[in-house]
Amino acid sequence: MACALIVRTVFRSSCVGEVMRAKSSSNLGKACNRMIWNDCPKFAKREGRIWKEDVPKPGNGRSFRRIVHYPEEYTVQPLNVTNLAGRDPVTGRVVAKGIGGGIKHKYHWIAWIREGPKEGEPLEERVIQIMDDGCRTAKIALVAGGDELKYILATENMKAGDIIKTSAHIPRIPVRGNEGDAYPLGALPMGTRVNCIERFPGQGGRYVHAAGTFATVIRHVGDRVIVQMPTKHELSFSQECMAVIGRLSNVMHNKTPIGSPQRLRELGYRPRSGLWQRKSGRHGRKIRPLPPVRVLDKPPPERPEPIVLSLPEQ
Amino acid sequence: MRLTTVLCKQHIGRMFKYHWRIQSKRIPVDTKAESEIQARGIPVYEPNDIIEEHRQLVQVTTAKPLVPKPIPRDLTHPLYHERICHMYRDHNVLLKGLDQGKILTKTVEIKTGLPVEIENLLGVHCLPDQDILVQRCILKSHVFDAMQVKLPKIRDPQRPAWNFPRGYGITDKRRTNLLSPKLIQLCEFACGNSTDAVLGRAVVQDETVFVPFEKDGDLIQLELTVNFMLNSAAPLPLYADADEVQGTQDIPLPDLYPIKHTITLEKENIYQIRNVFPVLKGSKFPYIHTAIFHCNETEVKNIYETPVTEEQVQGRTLLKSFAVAAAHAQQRFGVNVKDLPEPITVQCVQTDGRLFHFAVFQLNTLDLDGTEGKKNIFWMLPRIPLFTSCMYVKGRPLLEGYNSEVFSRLLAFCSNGLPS
Repeated sequence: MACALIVRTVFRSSCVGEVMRAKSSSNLGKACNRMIWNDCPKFAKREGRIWKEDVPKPGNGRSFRRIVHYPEEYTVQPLNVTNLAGRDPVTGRVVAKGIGGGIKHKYHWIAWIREGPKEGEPLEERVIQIMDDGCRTAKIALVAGGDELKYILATENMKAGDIIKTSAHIPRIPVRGNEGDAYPLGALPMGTRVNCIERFPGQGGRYVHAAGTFATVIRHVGDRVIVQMPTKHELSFSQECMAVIGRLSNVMHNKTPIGSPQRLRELGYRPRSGLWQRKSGRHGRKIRPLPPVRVLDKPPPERPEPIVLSLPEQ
Repeated sequence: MRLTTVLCKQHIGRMFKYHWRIQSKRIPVDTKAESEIQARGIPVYEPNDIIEEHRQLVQVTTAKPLVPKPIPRDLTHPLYHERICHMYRDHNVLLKGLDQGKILTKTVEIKTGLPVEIENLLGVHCLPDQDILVQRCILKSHVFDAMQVKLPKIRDPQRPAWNFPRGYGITDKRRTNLLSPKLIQLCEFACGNSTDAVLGRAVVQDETVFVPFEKDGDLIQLELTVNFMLNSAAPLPLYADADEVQGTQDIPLPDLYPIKHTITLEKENIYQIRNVFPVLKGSKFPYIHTAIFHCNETEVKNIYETPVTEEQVQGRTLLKSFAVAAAHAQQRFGVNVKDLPEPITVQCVQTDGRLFHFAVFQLNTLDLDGTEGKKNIFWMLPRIPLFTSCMYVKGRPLLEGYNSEVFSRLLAFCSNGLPS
């Protein structure tokens, strides 16, 4: 009888290829079968996974809630939005369950990058008004400086008429700034509460956006600054990363109950049931030791886009 | 029993499908060869650029389209200028309202309220049954008109999920367009003792005024509509004499630091500088007397979609009255005039159909640079309601809270300058 045929294709894209095997009853065949490991557990999972590769997963900042139609230039005019209701815009399949409906809000384009002068007096801007934003839990502030208007996340005690400062200068003596001011992390003393922290200098505030949250500057190590996030994890940032001082607005957000199922529908959540199972071991609070300080020093390598080949129609 | 031969058939298509699903996605590995080669100065080409057939597009002359193609608004537009022009139009509203308007037009208020001479004109002329006639005008423009159109949706910010029943009725634009001429007509009846009330005045309706000017190195152009303008054969008297005008040098302008005075003015590269005043130079009624401006909620909005404040509406009155006076001055004294030979006075009313803002503006100078020197003067009252509500209630038209002061003030404005 013919030997077992093993077709094993290895490409960079596919870690493990398909295996075909034909059973044979000869001794040689049995010996061949024993030498080749056909029952790799990764295998079966791979077969099942190939149909799910096109469908992305929510997480790492990507929530399938809305697409914002950004114009070319920054504007203070509220932007139009298409709501996705948990669907992947490419395949159209439901990716995140339980999202949909709700009051349709326009998106206020927040200016995440707080640019300030590297030397000299800080840049001053005035807060015009504090507004509610339907697309986030924190409140936003309309701020005017020079000729331009922009939105920023409002801190706890910010009110109309305040002056906020922005500076990128790192002095020898740490700066005791006021709420709403933006300074580099290297300029702030230990124990300062900050929000809207940049991951890499100049990229715009990415960490700590939710209502009432704040991160704390723990210590300065060389030219890095260790900051404790609201989850108590510690991250090490470059000292030039800008951060806004203070705690974010709408502090009582997580203490106020939703109130009614209808209110939850207005927030854009579909009805849910049968959520958690007591005995499975997955649900509930986990008490784990803190992971080591995560150093954010280099941006993740850019993954090249796969070239998708297509079979021509015969 | 005869057995058939074993058919060694498999659905081979499934194998192809699974293989292709994985193999069709190839991630290109960057072997750094390209960067190494480029570093040595060897040119690297894309294969498609060489292999691809480049078609030569032949210019085909087609007939001119019936509807001309719109000209793209970019560098190639015939009206494109490198220098930015700050535009202020009817739908715009200044961020800081009156304070910003004062800085832009170099204006100060020397006293609260209107000038004494105009206050003394209150009640001089009067119609019999004046209140009833005015109430009829209000009802005719707010309730008794045949227009029935879907009105804008009513939204309560406190109850965002609640959809109010949709209203039908008269639009705000039509309300103001109906009310202003009716009130002016009543004023003309009231001043009927002198024929000058009708024969001595010219009426201009819905005309646009274009005023370009320079301030602190910025080019600004006002393109504003005057909804109802009364012109007269004689100019209005000056309500601030030469001493008071000199005294304005000591009154400081408001300080908006860190905001610049050109904020919320639309910055444009494609514009046309024009000096337009709607009344031609040789007219029998060349002098501006009274101007009425409309402030409709559906047209006048903030770019950040927050409701317009009192201050912002008052600033709009100031800018519109400045535009009218400045356009008239540029027509009379020349386009580039800076120091006027004689000041120009104009009376203004801004209304949204219910609230009336009365103001008087005296243009002393068009040299708007800096904060020193002679300034223009503005007198104004806070906005006065003509009524509190005028609508159908349980099927019946109901006008509530009528205020007779508004028409008396309008009459005082219109009868200004007429012999009693």
